[in-house]
Amino acid sequence: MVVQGMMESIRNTAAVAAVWVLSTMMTVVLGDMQIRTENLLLIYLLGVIVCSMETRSMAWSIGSSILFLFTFNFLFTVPKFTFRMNDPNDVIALAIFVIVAFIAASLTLKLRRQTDIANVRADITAKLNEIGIGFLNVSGIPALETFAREQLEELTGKQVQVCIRGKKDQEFADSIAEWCYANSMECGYGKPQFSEASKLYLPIRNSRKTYGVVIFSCESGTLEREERTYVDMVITQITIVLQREQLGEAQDRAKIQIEKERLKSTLLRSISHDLRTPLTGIAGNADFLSTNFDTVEDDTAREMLHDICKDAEWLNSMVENLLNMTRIQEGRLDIHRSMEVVDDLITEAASLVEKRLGNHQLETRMPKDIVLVPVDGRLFIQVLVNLIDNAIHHSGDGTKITVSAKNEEESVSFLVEDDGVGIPEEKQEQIFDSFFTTAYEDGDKKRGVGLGLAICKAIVEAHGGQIRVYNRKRGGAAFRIDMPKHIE
Amino acid sequence: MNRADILVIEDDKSIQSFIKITLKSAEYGCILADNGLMGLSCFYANHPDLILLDLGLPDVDGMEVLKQIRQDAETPVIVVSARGMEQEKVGALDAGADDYVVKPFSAAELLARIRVALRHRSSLPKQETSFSLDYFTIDFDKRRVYVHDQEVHLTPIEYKMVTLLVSNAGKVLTHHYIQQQVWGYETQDEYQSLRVFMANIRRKIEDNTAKPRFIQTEVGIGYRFVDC
Repeated sequence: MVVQGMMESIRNTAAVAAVWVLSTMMTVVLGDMQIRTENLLLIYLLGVIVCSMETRSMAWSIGSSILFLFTFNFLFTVPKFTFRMNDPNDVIALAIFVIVAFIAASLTLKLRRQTDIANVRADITAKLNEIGIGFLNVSGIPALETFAREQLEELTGKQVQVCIRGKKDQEFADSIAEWCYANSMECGYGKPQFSEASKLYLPIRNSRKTYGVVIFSCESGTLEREERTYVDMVITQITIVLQREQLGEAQDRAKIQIEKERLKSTLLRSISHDLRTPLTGIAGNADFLSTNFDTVEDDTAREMLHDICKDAEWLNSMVENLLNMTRIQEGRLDIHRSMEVVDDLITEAASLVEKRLGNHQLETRMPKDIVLVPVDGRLFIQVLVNLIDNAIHHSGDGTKITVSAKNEEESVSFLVEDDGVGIPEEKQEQIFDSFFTTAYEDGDKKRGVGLGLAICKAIVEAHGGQIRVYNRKRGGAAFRIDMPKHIE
Repeated sequence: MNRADILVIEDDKSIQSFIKITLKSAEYGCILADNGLMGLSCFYANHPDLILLDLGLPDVDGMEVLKQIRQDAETPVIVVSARGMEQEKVGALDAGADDYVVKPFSAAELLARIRVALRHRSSLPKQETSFSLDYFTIDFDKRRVYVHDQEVHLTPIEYKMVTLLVSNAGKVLTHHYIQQQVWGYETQDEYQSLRVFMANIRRKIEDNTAKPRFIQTEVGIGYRFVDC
């Protein structure tokens, strides 16, 4: 500041000196050409106006007018080269000179100041426009915070922090900021609340909601009134961006909600269809047996009872899957990991599907060493069971299904393969979607809600693993699961 | 056959009648109780030989009933539980239940469990000199194990585990129980080494580990040596 002041004085002195020399030289030349002193005085008046324009300061204007007055008095009034005056005309002329110089200087200054202000305003308006456009391209709270902070720092020249409350339960580290947010009131430096603080806290809010806090470091004084106006405009922009973001989020939520509803209704539809089919079988067979108990032949009865058992078992596995699916969809698939031996998992899955194999062959291949993998045993067995079931239902008649596991460096890979018809490329992407099923394409011959593979994917991913499907070169489909050996 | 009386504590009527028919067909006596309190009073009044206990009862927690019974008697208890409640089953087994069946269960399964539980109570472990099933033989005196008449080398811990399972044949043993019996102390590794030992034993004594003939894994619970 001091250096700047000195620089300014030197510059002003130089300007005044230059104008003084120039106008004095002119007046001396014109004086020699017998021009009347009144006109010479006008030249000095011009000098004073130029000085006030250059120095932009009242003090310097008055100073220069006094300097010019005495110079004129010394050089041109009779008796020349003294500071005395004999002619009353000169006295009046000089008096008027002083008054006119004073008025002209003050008018010039005012004009000058107003243009300056207008220039600054134009600059700031342009800047604010730029900021406004910048905000259009910002999305996400962290990006918004950074952008707003940079722009406010540039605008005010102060250190700025912009804190926006994203989640409801988080709290600002700064307790004053928290107060400001909670009460939606300005506080800190120069405000009634927390006036001893070195920072100024302004809430980011609109009429309905407070979104966050802007913090200015006020070591070099508070915000000026003009600055404050601009800052308020920027804060308004921030609230607009946030409102826009929240509208977007609300829209997304609504979309998810709709999707959920759709899933639910599809689920209900499938359940009513797929549960009713075996139930009809059970009820029909049981009813027939109980009403015709005495007349029915033994073989027929045995067959019907066998059907009842088969349907009941199918119902049971279906319910198990549905249960898992609802657990997944509610987003609370609790995983109880323990170190399971890979052999046990495969063995158990194989024994669970044994009854359903029909004319399919099931081969299991264990890893060479005893390998442990951290999984929820029951859920992971469900994955293998679903994959084997899938192969039974969709690979074709009498295929050979192979389940194997391999110990890799960071993971254990499980492979469920068949030598059947394979899966068309275009279906491989959708195959893990809920309710994706080919059951209806093939008439009503096969049953299935299309949940099995979706559950596999959900369970594997909940464990931090990966599941992929591809067709084998030798023909048939293969599902590969990679389960990490270490829990992060 | 000496008729054993079985107390069934189960609230669902159709499962009750299913169990009743099953028990009658096998000539067991059957006492039915609809809830926990009634079950307890039937237990004190009738001194049944075995109890079938559903863990999801309308009035009191099945676990409480189990604890109450265990305070007074060593009557075998088989718990009936839904699939997926592994923690519950392990809890019940460690609290003194002898075995469990999972809903839905078949009549054959239920009767097999009952048979094993009754046998273990009636005959205190006899000091037999050998055990033999299919192609698997243990000579307790010489501490030797044979598979297809070939001697198989088991480490001392493996041998201990096999004999523990064999002497409880047909009954499920929890990880916790095996750990306590074989090592004598609890571990923090989720029975990791126990599982590895068991897998090793399997590879030594089973012909086909994918279809175990002798040692069955009860996922999340423990192991069971097949009932002979």
